[in-house]
Amino acid sequence: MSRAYLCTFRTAMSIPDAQIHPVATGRAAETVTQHQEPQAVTYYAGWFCPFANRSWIALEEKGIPYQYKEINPYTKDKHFLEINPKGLVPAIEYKGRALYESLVLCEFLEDAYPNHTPHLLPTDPFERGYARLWIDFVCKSAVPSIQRLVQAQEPDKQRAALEDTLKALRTFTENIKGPWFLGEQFSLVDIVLAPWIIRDYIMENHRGYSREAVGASWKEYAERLEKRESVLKTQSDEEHYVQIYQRYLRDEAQSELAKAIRAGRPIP
Amino acid sequence: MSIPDEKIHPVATGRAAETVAKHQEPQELVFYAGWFCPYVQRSWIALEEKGIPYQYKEVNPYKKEKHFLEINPKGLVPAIEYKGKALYESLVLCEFFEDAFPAHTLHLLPQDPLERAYARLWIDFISKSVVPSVQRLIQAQDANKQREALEDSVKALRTVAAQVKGPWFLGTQFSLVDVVLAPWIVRDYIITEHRGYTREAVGADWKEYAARLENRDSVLATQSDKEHYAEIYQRYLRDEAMSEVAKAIRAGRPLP
Repeated sequence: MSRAYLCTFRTAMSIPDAQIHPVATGRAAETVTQHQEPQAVTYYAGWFCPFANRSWIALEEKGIPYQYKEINPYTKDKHFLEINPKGLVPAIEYKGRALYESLVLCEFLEDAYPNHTPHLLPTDPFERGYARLWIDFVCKSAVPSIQRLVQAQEPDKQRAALEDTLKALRTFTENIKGPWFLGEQFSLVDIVLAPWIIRDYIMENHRGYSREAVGASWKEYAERLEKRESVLKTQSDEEHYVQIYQRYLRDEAQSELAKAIRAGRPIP
Repeated sequence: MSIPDEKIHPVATGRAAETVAKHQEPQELVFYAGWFCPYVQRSWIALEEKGIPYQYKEVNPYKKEKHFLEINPKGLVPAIEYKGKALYESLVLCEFFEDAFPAHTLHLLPQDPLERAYARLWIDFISKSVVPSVQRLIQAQDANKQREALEDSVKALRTVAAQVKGPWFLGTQFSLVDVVLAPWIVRDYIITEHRGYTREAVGADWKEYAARLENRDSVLATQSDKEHYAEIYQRYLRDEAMSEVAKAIRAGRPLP
């Protein structure tokens, strides 16, 4: 198990990020509408949060019934805070208890819904371990590099972060069996990276990144992944992400993630 | 362990040496370890708890075996070789032992999915909050940074302590949550002697839990004689250690 992250949106709005559109839009809005009935799983998410995106993709892949509830600085959900005082998303409520951490949630969905396919981890213990190893790599190397790149202000820091990002993604690419990371089986390894792949236009437009710079097979993999139905269904309209990532690009974002990157601390 | 720290005693000693001696026969599972490494100790404790047959191989930072590097080019420990393939990362290994050896009890994670997830949540907290704070505390040189890291460490440990159901973290079931904490608990005398930490400062319950955990047989069985750890942690206290963990702390990067 390794690092997962959560967006912290304290509904007391202690430090709000300004101007976040309050609801999902585009395909994600359709998905939200389809998940308004009470279910065994209540899924608490911020529509824009890449970590929430991970477990959302997993829910959609597996066809697990869930009720979607938006948690963001503009919505206050008293019940949510009662069961989950830390107020972190993504989170789920299941049988009256709260769980959080995107990777813990993804593993939970595998354990709790064994009949809902696809299985997003191999059943063979060694292959399962191998998949977890690469999930860990994504969380420890790829995601932090990307976040550092987005938040870096000085040219030399941007250059260093870009090099780190390219290096991490190239290492990942070398191990892609194709069409998905593990080969035929679409898995959590693909899912944990997907939210950053679909946001990579931010680094391309503002930080000198390109998929080509990583490599041709990376570009092909990224294009394939961003067209996966579960990825498309959990994405909102591009224009609404701008207000959020602009703050990251100026290193003014106040999420726990942003603060951890600034402080050189483990990503929460 | 890419760049060796000098003068590390080359082999396990004390109770750990006895355990090593009992695990020299070739087995399907080969366990590559550094006797002094806290991450290694996590997976080593798990192996001992579950009675999984393994062959113990010491990885010498000065001389990594060719075969080890062939199957595991990164050369990291803890690592295992199982049916000719390598896996590493202490937590990945611990989960692998649960999956691959389902008949070997103890089960170190609950079977119930919700309880299993709860355990993983706290394993994650320990890895993200407790271990980095303690490592930062050891390596901090500046008085302000030491004070801050001590506050962070005590705060993180109090958060864990508040959740201990007793006698073990999850209650009656000894689990991976206890296993992942244990190596830092058995080394906490370092921060007591050099950084102003006390178990009492965390709380009376914590002190009791820590004492119980450090006396667990699998923990004792994987510990070497105290004097041999000194050469290693002295370098950490001076912030001169060259392990991947030490470098990550210095650089403000995620712990490998």
